[in-house]
Amino acid sequence: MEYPADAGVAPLRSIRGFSMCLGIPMQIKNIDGFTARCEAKGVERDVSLFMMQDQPVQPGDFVVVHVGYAIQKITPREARSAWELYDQMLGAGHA
Amino acid sequence: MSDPARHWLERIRALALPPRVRIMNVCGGHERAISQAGLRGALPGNIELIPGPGCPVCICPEEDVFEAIQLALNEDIIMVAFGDMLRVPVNVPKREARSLEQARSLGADVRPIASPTEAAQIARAHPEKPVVFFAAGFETTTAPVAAMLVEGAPDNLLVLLSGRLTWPAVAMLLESDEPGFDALVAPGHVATVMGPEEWAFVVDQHGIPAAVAGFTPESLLAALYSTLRQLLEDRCFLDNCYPELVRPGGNRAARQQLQLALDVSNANWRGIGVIPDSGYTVNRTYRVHDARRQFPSYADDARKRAGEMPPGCDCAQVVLGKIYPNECRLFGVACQPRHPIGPCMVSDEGACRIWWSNGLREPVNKPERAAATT
Repeated sequence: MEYPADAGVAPLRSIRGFSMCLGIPMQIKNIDGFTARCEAKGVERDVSLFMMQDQPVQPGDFVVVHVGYAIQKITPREARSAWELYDQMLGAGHA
Repeated sequence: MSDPARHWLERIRALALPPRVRIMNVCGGHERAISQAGLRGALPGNIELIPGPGCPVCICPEEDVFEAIQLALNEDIIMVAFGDMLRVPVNVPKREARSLEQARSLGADVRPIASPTEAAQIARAHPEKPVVFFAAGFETTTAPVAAMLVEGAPDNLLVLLSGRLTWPAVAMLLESDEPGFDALVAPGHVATVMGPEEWAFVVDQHGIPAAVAGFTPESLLAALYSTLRQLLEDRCFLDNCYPELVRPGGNRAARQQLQLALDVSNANWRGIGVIPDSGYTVNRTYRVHDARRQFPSYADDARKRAGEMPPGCDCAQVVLGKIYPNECRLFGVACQPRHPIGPCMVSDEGACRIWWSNGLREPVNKPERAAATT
């Protein structure tokens, strides 16, 4: 998937502002047990799949991640539009 | 604004609206998206968007923050908490630690974390020490705490749980004499985990239009349009304007994990009081991980203003949607993000912090709301 070139990775480095309500869409790179290596905008994180046991996921899938746990699958298109919003929001927040 | 968002905005503008419609949201993420997209200014003036009880940090009992501070200062432990919780002030004399951040500056081992998995990692790295995870949050955050327990937390990891359910606060408002809103935008990620059905009572028992929304202007405007149409046609139903994530029954595994590890009980909300069946507690099965059972209570009945909001602070009124953030007498003057007085200015989910960050600092001209609160 493609992200805007100026998007940056602030939301992943700084969890502030995303700690409680907002979920971050990430793509699963690989899976080891209940832990998935997930990526967004070149930044990788370990994400727990423990809450996804009713919804099998595989590498390549997108999930919404909240406080380090995947809470739901999401389509690539939805992931992209969510990121576009967050970029705008972060831009506004940092302005 | 995207084309679909503009489309919804135009449809809303075309509605024959009554002179005043108050629509409440109960999620800091919604309030942030509304403020940052400038939806209030874009919508017709007779639509009021009211931020309601959507900030778990803001309503976390003052006594719980005090307990966390005392545990960090007096017990040989590592205290971990979501970053927002570190700056929440309690009511103590000036010479004492007012926040976890101040406890840390006095030598306590207090560490901010971003995930329950980090709490477990820290506990595994320090098997010789109890690690206390002070966990405040609504369902979306509390479910991962439950998942962490069910998956198998290290023996030395204890949870000081201040988890809350969102809907009981809305139920409390709707059962009061003056709910203060005509329609509800229900929280998207709470509904993702718990299922949208939790919010059916708003429609079924109270005849109030409701729609679950996501966090894009498009989804929020679709939800606003839905509730307005419901209102105008006098035909209420619970709409789902976030179907890409919110599915019937929610996330079943997450709900099961909540049930396995936690009980639901009456719970205190800071500045508001006890709301029935609105809190999570660690259940008997996982009691070895319950900090409240494993450590003494540091509650001090003689402590002045225990449980209350700070003096002069209207956060409780703001949380309940009774006043707007900039109607608080401290807003923007004594209380700013750099030196917050109330929790609503501390947390990124707090309405005061969100309004301030978006430059919404001018008084709003809502005489009837102001009159109702003076």
